[in-house]
Amino acid sequence: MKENLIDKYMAGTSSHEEEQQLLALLQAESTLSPEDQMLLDMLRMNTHEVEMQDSWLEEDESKLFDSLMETPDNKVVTEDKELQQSVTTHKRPPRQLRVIAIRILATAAVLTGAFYAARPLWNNSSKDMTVTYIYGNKIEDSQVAMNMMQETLGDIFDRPDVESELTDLLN
Amino acid sequence: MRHILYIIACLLTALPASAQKNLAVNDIFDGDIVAKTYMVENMIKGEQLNPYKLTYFRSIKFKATPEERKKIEKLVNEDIKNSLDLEQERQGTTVESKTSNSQESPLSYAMMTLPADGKYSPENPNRWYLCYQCTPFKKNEYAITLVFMKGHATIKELRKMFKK
Repeated sequence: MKENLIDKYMAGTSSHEEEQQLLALLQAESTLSPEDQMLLDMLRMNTHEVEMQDSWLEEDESKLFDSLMETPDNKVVTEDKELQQSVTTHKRPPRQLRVIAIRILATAAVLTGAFYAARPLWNNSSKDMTVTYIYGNKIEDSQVAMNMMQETLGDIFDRPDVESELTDLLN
Repeated sequence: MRHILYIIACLLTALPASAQKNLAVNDIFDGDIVAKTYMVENMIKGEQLNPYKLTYFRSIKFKATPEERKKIEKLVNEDIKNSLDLEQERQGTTVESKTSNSQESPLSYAMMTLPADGKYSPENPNRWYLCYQCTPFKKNEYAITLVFMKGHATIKELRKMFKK
């Protein structure tokens, strides 16, 4: 088998796997003839070259892949993305919108509090006001309101006042 | 976190202003027990009340069922607890003290003085007055009058001014 592999290698018709096989056989032998040693050296050199070529090939492939990624089409897309980013920079990020919303709510709360705090001042104003509702019907007549007030309080206070009657008797 | 605390502080400023009217009978004036469309309501404020030493007058008159009357009386009794001065009349009795007699008998009349804005101060002449009157009208119906006033007149002065 070794002879066959050597013959094939010398003829230049051996495959890479057969060369590797021959290399393994020669490396396994403890003693080599000068011809076999030379053959071994040649095989080693060839293997290294192939490995180097493989790595170069891989590198080339990766470079090719990269170059494919950098085709004009992709470059246009990238530029579009950059353009989109520049176009969208004027939009406020969500966190800033949240801050603005909180500030608006706080201002509304302050104004509401101030309104309710000041409302008693309006209610306590000396401005005259009379309102009468008779079963839901509104009547804005101050004289009617005053007459109703006197009648109502007259009914309530029309009670025997024991204390004042006693005072009158004593006097 | 700071923003949230700021908002809470601002909202709390509205609470003291809304706590002025804390009388139990406000529910009656607001129409929660008997609707306002069944009431005769009268409200007066301003300088026209100066001759009576009053600043504000509000009254409601309506008819109530026995169940409604119980609810109304319960609210009036709550305000009686906070009164400074009280005249009351319960069915079959006449009492001039809020401490004596039980509140089990139906209330037919109450005239009380309350601290203005819920705070009593000897130096502050301003008072709130609450008057309640309940008279039988028809079978299972009562005529109720509720009056709320603000001013610095005494009950005696008011009685003198308005007694028929």
